[in-house]
Amino acid sequence: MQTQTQLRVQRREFHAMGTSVALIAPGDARTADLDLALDEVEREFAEQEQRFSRFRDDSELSEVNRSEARPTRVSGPFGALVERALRAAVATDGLFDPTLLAAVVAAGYDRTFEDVIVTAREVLRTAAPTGRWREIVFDLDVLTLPEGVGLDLGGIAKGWTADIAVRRASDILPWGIVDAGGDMRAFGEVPAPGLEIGVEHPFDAHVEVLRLALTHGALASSSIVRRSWGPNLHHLIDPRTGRPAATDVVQASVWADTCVEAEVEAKVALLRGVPALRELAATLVLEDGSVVTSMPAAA
Amino acid sequence: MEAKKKRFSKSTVRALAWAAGGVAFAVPWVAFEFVPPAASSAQATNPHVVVVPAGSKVTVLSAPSGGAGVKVIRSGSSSSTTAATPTVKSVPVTTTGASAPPP
Repeated sequence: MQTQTQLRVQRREFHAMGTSVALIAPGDARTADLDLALDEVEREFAEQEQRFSRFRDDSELSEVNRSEARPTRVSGPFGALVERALRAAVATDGLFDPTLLAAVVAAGYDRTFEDVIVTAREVLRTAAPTGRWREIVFDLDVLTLPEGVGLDLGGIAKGWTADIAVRRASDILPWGIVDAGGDMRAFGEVPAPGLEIGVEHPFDAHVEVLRLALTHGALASSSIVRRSWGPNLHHLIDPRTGRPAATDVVQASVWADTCVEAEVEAKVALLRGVPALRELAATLVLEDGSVVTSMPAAA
Repeated sequence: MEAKKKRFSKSTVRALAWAAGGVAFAVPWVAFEFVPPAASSAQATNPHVVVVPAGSKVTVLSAPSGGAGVKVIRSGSSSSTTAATPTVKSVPVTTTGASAPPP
């Protein structure tokens, strides 16, 4: 198998949701179209960051998390994502849990990641209870969280935003990718052989463990290495224990139709390990540095 | 009568002092041996230089059914065995790895 000719592309970036977001477009796209598409994508990310950030006191998510079991009317987009998150919790039998806010905070991730690193702590607080998504009541546009429960929609919100941002971009550009810090969604008719994506080594971003070609759908990665602030302290909470996951998988990259699905399944693959590959198109990097993939090889 | 406390001879003390000094001298040099090498100058100046560790192994499992929109590009691959990771020379359009901090 030979590496095929790389498609020519243009790339524009902006910062949102604590990461670099890129719009990758055809190399021959007009500058005016690219600028317009970038504006649309950037606006979508800014809007959803304002809605879903748990680090902004004035976000809709913060307002909901302060509701203390009172029924709260939520916006259409907020309700749509909550519904997706609850469906994902059911489909994964709770391995994806949108109510892990207390557990994440108990693990020390109680401020933006940059600040967590500055004030790294060594001792875990008591594990917080998990699985309380089953007690959430969502009736039309009124959401009621159980007492003491907060939502953390961070990763899934980023994927969901990429999913809806490509709708805007695809009205302007024939094909491309919205890449939100490594969680990406392709749109339009990407010409063969597809866009080449490098899967980074979790311990060194300059090293690739695998090269992929993406033609459609979404690719998302999750890792316990990058956002770690101490021994066994990282952002991926295992809902079965309420503590940072103890797993031999350090990084999972998953392909799915949408970025929301890929984001959820990447977390599940990190928790389930190699057996998850029976059902997913995924690449796992294990703690010994070996790579296991169930993604199909190019013909 | 109290037992007489045993004392080391001067030559023993001197030998121990030399040995301790030798160990103190050698420890940093041994430690330096285990420090990971710095990135190559090319890698340090160009973040797009891709170096794949020769020892990495990629195990390919049979793909689940369904039309995945992603394919693995590997030179000299086989579909069901363990193969050494290829050296990737071209620069990818973008990369994926650890997901970025949530909003």
